[in-house]
Amino acid sequence: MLDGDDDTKLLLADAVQQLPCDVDLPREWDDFFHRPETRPLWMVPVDKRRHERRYLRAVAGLQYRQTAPVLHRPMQWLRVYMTNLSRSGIMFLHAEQLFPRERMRMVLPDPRVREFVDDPENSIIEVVRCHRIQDRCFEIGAEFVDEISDVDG
Amino acid sequence: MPYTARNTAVLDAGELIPVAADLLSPGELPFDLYAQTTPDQPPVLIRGRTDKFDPAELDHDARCGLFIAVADQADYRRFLCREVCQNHRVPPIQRYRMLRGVTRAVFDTIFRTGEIESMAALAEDFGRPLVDIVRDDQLAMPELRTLMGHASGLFLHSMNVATYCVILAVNLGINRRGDLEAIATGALLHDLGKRHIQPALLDCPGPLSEKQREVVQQHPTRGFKELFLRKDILWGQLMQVYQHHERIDGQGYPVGLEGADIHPWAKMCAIADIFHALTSDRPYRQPMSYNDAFDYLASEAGKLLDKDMVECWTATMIRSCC
Repeated sequence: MLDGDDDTKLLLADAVQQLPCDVDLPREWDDFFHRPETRPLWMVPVDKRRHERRYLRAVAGLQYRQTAPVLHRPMQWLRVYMTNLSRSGIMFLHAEQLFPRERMRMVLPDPRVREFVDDPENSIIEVVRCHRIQDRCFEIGAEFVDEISDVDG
Repeated sequence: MPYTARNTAVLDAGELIPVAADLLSPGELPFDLYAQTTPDQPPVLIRGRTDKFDPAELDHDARCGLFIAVADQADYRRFLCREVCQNHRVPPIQRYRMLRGVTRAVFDTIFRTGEIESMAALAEDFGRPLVDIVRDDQLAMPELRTLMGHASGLFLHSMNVATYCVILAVNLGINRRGDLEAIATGALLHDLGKRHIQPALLDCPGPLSEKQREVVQQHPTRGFKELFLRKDILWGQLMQVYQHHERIDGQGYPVGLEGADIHPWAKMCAIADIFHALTSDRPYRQPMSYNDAFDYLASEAGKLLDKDMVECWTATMIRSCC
């Protein structure tokens, strides 16, 4: 019998799976979730990672929290595709361009992330870089940060 | 009667900056004025900010120069903008020369400290007079071209890119004053991120290594990050800083956006940026002629640069200067 924690995790995973997602993966990535762990699909040119990076393909929940005063983001939750992460950061695929210094809340229901992330149900990230793969598919590099500041978009 | 020292109040040399007597018009000046009569004596206060001023009465008291306090620099700059740069009785080419001189000090401060007092003030002090000058029927473009010259360096490059942006924007049919002033101000800041790059790397005479190129290509992102949380900046201005190296064909940086996703103000900035880079002195090559630069832009239209904007720019410059 599943204990309460497992039930909650399952509910969370199911909830994330139900979130809206407009990511349009390139056709050659149709097997995105079935690929073996290999090099990332697109290498960032300046790699300043401090920690071991693991290539993990899984869904995640994303909510905009802090952005530019002139840029208005809806507060809704969205589903994104994580591609890899480390203790200091994460890369994921999103349907929209994100901008450096934007901050979001992420929910990472995949149990494999617990090796790297202290609070996978309530992580705060700050965008570091964004690269366009194709229409409605952007690869976002972000780092885990401690908190959301008082500035809100 | 010549002015005499009102008191012996002096400031340290580092607290004073020189000003040109011929720029000071009669009337009330919004700053204290110091004069130096001999090289071995420090400047002394000759006129307070509430006193009436008549330059004809300066006489020998200021033979070694006039000065203002560094703390009054902003008031001095606004005075010049109001009295000279925005004075339509002054020929536009002279106003442009003055605006360039006034803006240099502001630019140097911004690029040294990263601090911008307010975008509105920058638009008023720089954007507005620049737009007025560009739209002045008395402005002779060949004369402006000569004045802009072939000099590079970060300030002159930014100043010239801003000027080109306003010219292009006007000829594209953008006529709202607020938009034009904002475009000018954003263009002035488009390379803000370069303040984090070693000058030796920016002026490198030879081809850059891959690592050096990666460092230089970070400047749009770095500039963007400095401005991102400001409440007084427009989205178009942010995009001028962030997107001016994006390409229509998606092969640009930092994101790799394609044409429709690049902000129009950033597209204008890209054309101005490249045109000035081609036609100015660089450590590694001579400036290109205008005709050769037009040919290059035409070859990149639709790939690197917006095709319609390139055609507009080329037609404008040929009509005005050639």
